[in-house]
Amino acid sequence: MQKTIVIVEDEPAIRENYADYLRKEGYRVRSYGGRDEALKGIQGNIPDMALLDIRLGSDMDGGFEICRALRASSATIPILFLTARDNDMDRISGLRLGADDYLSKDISLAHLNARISALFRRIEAYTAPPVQEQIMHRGALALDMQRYTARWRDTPIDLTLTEFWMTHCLALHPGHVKNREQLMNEANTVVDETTITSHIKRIRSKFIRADDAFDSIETVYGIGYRWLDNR
Amino acid sequence: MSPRFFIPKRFSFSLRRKLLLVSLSLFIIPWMGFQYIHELERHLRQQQQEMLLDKARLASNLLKNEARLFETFVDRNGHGIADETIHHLYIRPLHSPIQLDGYAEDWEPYAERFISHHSVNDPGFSFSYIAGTYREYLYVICHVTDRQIVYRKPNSLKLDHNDFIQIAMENPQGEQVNYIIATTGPGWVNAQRLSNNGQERTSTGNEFRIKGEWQESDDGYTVEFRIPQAFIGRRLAFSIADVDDPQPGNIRNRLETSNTSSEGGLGTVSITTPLTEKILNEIGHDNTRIWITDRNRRVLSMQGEIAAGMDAVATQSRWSERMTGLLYSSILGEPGGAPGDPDQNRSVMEGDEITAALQGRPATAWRSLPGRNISILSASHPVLVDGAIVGAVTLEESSSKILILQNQALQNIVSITLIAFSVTSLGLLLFSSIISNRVTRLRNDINECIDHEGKIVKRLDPQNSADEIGDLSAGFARMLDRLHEYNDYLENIRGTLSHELRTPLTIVRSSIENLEQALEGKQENIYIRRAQEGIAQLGGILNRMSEATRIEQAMQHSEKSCFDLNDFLQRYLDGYQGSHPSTPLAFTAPPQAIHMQGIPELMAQMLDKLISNAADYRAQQTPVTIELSSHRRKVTLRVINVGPPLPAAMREHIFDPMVSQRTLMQPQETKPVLPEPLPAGPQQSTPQHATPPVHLGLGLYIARLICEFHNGSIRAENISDPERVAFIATFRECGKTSLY
Repeated sequence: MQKTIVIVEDEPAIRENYADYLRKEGYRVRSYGGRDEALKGIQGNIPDMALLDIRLGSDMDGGFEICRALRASSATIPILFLTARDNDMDRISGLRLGADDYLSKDISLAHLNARISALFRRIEAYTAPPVQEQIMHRGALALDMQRYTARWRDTPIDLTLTEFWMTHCLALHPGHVKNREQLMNEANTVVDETTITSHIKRIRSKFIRADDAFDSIETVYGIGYRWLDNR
Repeated sequence: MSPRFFIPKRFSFSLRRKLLLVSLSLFIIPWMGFQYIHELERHLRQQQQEMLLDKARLASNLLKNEARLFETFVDRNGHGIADETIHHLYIRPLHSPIQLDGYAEDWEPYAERFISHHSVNDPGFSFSYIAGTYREYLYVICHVTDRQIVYRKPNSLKLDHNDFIQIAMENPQGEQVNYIIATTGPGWVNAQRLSNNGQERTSTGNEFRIKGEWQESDDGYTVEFRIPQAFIGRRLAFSIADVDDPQPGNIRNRLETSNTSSEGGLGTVSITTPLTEKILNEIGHDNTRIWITDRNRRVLSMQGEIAAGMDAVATQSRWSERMTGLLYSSILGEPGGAPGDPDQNRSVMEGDEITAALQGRPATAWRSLPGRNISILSASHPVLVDGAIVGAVTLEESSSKILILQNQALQNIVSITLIAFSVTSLGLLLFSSIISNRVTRLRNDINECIDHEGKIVKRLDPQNSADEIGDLSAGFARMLDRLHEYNDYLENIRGTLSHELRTPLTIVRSSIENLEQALEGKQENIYIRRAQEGIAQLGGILNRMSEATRIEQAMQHSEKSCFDLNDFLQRYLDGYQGSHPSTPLAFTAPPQAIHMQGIPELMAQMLDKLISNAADYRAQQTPVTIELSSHRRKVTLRVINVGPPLPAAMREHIFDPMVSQRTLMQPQETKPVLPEPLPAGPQQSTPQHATPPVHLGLGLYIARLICEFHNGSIRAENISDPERVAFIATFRECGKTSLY
């Protein structure tokens, strides 16, 4: 069945480019330029996924409002935030809106597509449980490779897709140092040093919230990061 | 701490000094005050002198008619006894009768009049005497110190084989007569007339009218006797002889009031007569002494008391007035004249004023009594009889040393003026100091607000006073605030620019990607490829432009901890070397742990920048050297590469944003064919065609940001021999270090 994606982005060229691209990928796309327009559009007509810009025109947090409205209607709809500023990522993380990922507008459409596909696969994994579970265990960590969920000592950890991919990258080979390049590749993103650092920081803090003795992610200065097993 | 931007202290001629100069001109006021006091004092003195001189003139006028008084020492031919070496004796009247008992009680009131003579040869021999007239007699009391008293043998005719007193005089007829008092023992005595034999002293008969008492005393003897005034003419002298051995009868020693041996040598004498007393009563005044002298300064007559016993100004005991007195005497120099103490027992008048008067010029003189607050003013006026100077009359008056102090009101006014002036000038000085301080404080405040780059690091707290300095301060505060806003704006341009550019870049990128998708399957389009590479570069530039901002945000949200820098560096450099095998590294550090407060991830980023910078500029085949050291809680981290020195202008600005060494210098190494993976900056989506990134000159700026975030400072230095460039970051050690 064809999936519907809603894009809310105030810059028309970007909005249309995204819409065109996704349509070519086979999705049905509804696009809106402002908050009120979007809210009206989704009323009674919840899409299968939403791609939200945070700042809509003069409305600084328009995207958040739409997110809340969508979440009120559906707990499972995947929501992706598009951020222009880097501190937005911290904000979104802090607000715990239940976003599935937050992406810089820098992201290439190919990487965006990778995420969309992954998120749709995840939905399928929830609705129709796969025949064979693919769960990667590393010590207290359990990564569900189909549902893209993580558990630490059986506590679910709410990681975004990007964060999940990074954690997977590290934990796949515990003790091996992964540099930024490798992390970026695994996470389907192209970012600089500082952004990687803040991603890792957010991952750490999410794990620490569940277990304040968590220190399995080690910074290896000058190279990158590594996963420490069996603490 | 980063070096500060200073407003240079060009004006060494500061406000304070200028005000001091101006206030120096204020010193005219007290100077004029002092001049005024001088003038006043001088004027008051002048006045007093003139008044006294006037009185002296009046006195001398009255004396014009008393020529007889002055003729005492003129002989029959009218020639005066001019020899001034002859001793003159002036005898003053007594006011009470004297008991001739050999005891001195009745001489008590005249105790000041004692005249002493001491022997030069024999210190044990001296005498002092007073002579005074009462009624028709001249009374004399004489104390003699004599260790050995030898009395005359009762029946001896020789008068001089014993201690004796000789009286030599010229009688009114002009003949010289000698008497001796040589007693056989203490008690009642009378004089013996002497023959005019010169040397030999034998009695020619008693003179019972010269009689008295001889008493022994502790150190000698005392004789009180009287001589009828009628005996005495113009000359009189006393002589005391000391004989210690009656046998040979030699006169061991002699003291005399004048030379009794020769006629011409006898001292002259003046005795106040009723005539002179009358005259003096007419011209005398209260509190004035009056002296009449002849041409040769001999005192002919004298009368009066000056209030020398009391201080002229009654209330000198008050502290404030003593202080005022000291003040004035310091202003006036030596007030009241040269020190002197005119003896009221004088028989001969000394003094320049007398000399001048005797030469025909009336004159005055001031003498200051030492140790007391009074001076004696004396005014001398010549006495002319028929146009010739026959003598002088001198008036003496006591007066306060500082005349202006006599006037209470004047004193108060001048004192108040001085106090008021001091208070005012102190007030002005204080005020000027305050102003100067405020201006200095303003300058210091401003200096603190700006750092060496011109970046505004602090708001100016304006001084809250409603005057010009307050206005200036507020003006500066406003100016700094505006500058700060502008600087913020400029700093944010980078961030704003990169942010604003992101949107069009996203548009272009997504458009190209769509285009690529549309052309997929058809031949690979080289133009799309190139466009995508360009977009990637643009994205890289934007990322690096905003990197600084992101780091700043990261710094704000992170907490510092105390970590071991030494250990960290070891691990970091191991890692770095592993991922950058073509850059040789050399690391030196002391063995002990060195702790600092900070965030290791940020330090790693700083090192990334510094090392990559050093690696770019190092000479071929040379390593990048990292040195860590610590001294007295100061941690120094050096990143050194071998290479040509930095130009001086660069060294300060190299840490500024958008300043790149490449604008002035070329990197040492040739560009590698395959560049190693970049430590910072985005990875290309198509790494095979990676081109070296455009240098925005931000690396060192970020290094500096991180350094300053850690409360440290960073600088660049050139080292010679061999030529190297060092980037030196310093931090403070944090608590965990054990004391070394």
